[in-house]
Amino acid sequence: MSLGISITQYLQQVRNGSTSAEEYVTKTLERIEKVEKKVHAFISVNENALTQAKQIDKKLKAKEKVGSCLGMPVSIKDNICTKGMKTTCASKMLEDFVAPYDATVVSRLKSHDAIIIGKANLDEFAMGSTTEFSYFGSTRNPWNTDYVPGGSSGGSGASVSALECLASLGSDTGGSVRSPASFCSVVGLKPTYGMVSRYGLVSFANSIEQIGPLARTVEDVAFILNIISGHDLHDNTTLGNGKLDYTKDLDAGISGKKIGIISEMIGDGIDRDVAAATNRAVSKLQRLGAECIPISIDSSVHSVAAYYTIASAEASSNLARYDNVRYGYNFDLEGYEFNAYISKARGSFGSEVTRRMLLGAFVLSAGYYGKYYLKAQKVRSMIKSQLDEAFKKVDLLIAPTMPILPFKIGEKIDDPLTLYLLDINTIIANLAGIPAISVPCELAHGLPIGIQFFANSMQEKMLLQAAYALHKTTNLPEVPL
Amino acid sequence: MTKIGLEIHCQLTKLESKLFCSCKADYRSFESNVNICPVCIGLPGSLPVLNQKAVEKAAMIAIALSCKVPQKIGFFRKNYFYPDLPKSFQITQYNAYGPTSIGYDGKVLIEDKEIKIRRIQLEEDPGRLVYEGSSEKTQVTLVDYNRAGTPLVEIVTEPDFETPKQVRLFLNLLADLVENLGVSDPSLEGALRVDGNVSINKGNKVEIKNVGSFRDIEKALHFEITRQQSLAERNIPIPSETRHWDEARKITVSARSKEEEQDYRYFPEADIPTILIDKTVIERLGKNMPESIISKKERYIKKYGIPLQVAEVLSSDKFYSDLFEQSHNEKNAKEIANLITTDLKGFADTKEQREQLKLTPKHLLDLADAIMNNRLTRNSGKIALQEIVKTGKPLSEIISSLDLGHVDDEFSLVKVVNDVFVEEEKAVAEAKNNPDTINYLVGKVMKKTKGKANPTLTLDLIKKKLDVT
Amino acid sequence: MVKRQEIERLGDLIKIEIKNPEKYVKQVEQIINYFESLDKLEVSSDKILTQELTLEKLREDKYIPYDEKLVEKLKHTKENFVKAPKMI
Repeated sequence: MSLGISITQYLQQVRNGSTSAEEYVTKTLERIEKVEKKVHAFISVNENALTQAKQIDKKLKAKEKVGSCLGMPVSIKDNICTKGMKTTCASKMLEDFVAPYDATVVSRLKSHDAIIIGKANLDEFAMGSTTEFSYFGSTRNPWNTDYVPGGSSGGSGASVSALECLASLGSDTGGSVRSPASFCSVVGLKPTYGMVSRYGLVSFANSIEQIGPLARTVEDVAFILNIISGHDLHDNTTLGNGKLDYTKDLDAGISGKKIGIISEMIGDGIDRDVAAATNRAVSKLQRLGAECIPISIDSSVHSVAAYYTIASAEASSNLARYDNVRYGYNFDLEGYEFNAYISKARGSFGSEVTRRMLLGAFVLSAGYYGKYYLKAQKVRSMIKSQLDEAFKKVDLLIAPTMPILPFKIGEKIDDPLTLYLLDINTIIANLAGIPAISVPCELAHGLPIGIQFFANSMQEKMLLQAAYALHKTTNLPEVPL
Repeated sequence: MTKIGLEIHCQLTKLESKLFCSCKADYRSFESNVNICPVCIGLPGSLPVLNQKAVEKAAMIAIALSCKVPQKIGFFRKNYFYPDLPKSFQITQYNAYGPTSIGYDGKVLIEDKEIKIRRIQLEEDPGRLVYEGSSEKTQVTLVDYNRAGTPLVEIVTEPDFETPKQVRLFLNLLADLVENLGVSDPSLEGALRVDGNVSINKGNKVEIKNVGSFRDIEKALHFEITRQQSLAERNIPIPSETRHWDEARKITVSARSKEEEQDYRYFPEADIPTILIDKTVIERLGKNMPESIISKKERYIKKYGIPLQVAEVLSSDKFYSDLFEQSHNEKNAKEIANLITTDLKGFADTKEQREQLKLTPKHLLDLADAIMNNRLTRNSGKIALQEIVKTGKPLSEIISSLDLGHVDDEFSLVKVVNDVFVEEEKAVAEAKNNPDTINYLVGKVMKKTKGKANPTLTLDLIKKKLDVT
Repeated sequence: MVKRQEIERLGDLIKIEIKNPEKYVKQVEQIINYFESLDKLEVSSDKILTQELTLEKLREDKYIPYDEKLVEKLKHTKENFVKAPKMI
């Protein structure tokens, strides 16, 4: 029995008896045991996973009703609340925090009988692109463990890629699901803003972020989207989606579709291997019947500045509640005055988080609101308008997910602005609230390259169909780990 | 020239749930930290979910104060750190970037002075701090989050008040108004809180905070005006500052001097979308609002001929005006209004007394009927009313058990009159010439009959006996 | 020009004790300068993206007690109060 199967295959195998939840979960736990010291994708592993798997097998045997996930092991990024298990956000500030409730996406997965196999590593509070800012140490790329796995959902990407689970839920604020998907050679989707409930997602930039699934196939991602998407009473920003079935007609193909190649994202500055892979992907799409034309989204060059202005501002407010008074880490308040205590306690944030909060405080401080924050919001609006215009001419947009190949751990960690600029291809989707997906494309020097599709708001069905069509033509080797 | 402005916080105690979660809006009956959930204590990952009725009730207050209600309202974050603020920001409303709060540009008339309402905003209350032992010695604050997230309406006026008395009248009007609208019970502790600001002669503005009750705000304002005037007389500059009302010493005291302008870094709350309030919704709210106090008063006067004083007392008391509405008809309205304001209110005025009131609208109807048809004297009526309030027994039962019926038959009355004439020889002699003394004799008969004698008949009999017309 | 004092002021605003403010000076300045590129940009409209929700779609005003005893899961409790350092 191979671990490297898709969700679709797992479900088939459980239904036809060729495997069981217990067998697959046991193998998964053994795999985790074996590779974690090299990959470090997990912050915590669920001790009750095997017990839960056995219970599902028992119900299946007794022909009782079992949820559609049939015990499949899923990892959850550690900034998404799981009841009874720690949710640390990879930060000392939440080192001991155990959420008393499940995020909506987690309770939906659980009610479909998925098993939460563990909490995946991330950049602290989801702020970063390489997972190197985790308080608990970096995650490593399963394709070459000297290299970064992408971020901030690096643990999610790596755990799926390293066959430590069948799927993962990550969060994407500036590309944090798509970047690790691209660097780890898996599929990763950022849904339309409002498509998936954020209740239980520890807020970083609440007007921008969305929870998104990572898996090894597009069909798997669609399967998970079915479960986690839709209106939620606990989240005023969720939209209904009419309970669409995203797995239906997934293989409809892209014949006749118009696809725009974003010219600003394949110009100078991108890696030669990435450019070449992108061109080959475009050729494939043309052979599949799509019309590919270059399209300019010139406001996208301002997307990084606009994004970091807004995201930092929101972060400085969203993280203000972490004062170690109600929950946090062990630090006795005896002898301290309030401001002195919380300032000292909050000194335990990592440097990237601190940096962003300082920036956020700056752009919102008295007198600066109009110049920075408000202006950035207007630029954001301008980007959305340009994209709306583009989608009048084309059905989808395409670009490489990351402008460069995965790089070595430690290589860019001292240059924050350089790291920010790596998000240049992914950020427009977050700012405009539109859905985007990264699918594995090629390998160069053993390192993964991903290609990214964008669609207009609520157009996940078409997006997934295009991703499916391209991914089917891709034949990549198994992960070497 | 004195200028006073007010900032009033009114809890929407009549709501069932908090502003952004389903915990109970009225937190007063709970043990500490029981009325909480992940949202109102700001646990990681929690999100606010807006209460529809809170928006409607806040809109009603705005309409009642003649404010404009925008068709798009939004929420903002006010960021600061304090032990009672679980998210380290308050979700509130803010108009600096455009009118997005629930009401703005309103007005109220107090003693013919127009008081402009700058804005009305919907926001959440923080938790409560309790100090262990003496607040100087202790190092620790105890926090109770039961109140965190309770819906508040903040009402900010322009500094249009000229005297503390106007402020008092306004606050009484506001208390009656919110009670009459059914949005808040101002008698609950902490339901209505006031801060003020005072300046004289176009000078610096001084904020007055920490005033416990409405009575105190008038005192605090008087004190502050006097304080500022005495400084001005001696040419001492009045600094712009925040002062606290010291309840014990009855003075305002400068608050801690590190009162630099707090930078709250206001920005839009993205977890709550812009709320669209259709014009027709605002119209419907206005139409379905409970009748205003002024309108009730005018109706009582015009339609039923109720005297002004009585109408004023009745219309501004929601409990009793509701009772009036349920028990009156065209004929007995005046009598019932009278019964309520003259007698009943005296017997049952406190909150507990009203809650325990056994009197029903039918009681009032029967009582008014009996008095108007001369089956009961007004005096007996008062006694009966007191008994009804206590026991709730039907009127007929009370009349017979307390023997309150009229003494109507001439035969028994003549006997009493004769008795009185014997006892009051001197008065009888006077009465032949002095009509006042006749009333005195009537009074004596009433006393002997425990108020049951028919006064008209008694007067006739006495006059006959005196041989006077 | 971002100076050490500015970092300290910002640190105080968001209540974070910053042990070595110099470390942040250069990086924060660099990033703020990068943000300046937006200042020079001309935008054709003042529109800002917002989600909208009609009044009718809002939550019903109903009291639903939370079914867990939350205070036991919080730190620093004493007789069911949360203990916090005193504000002076």
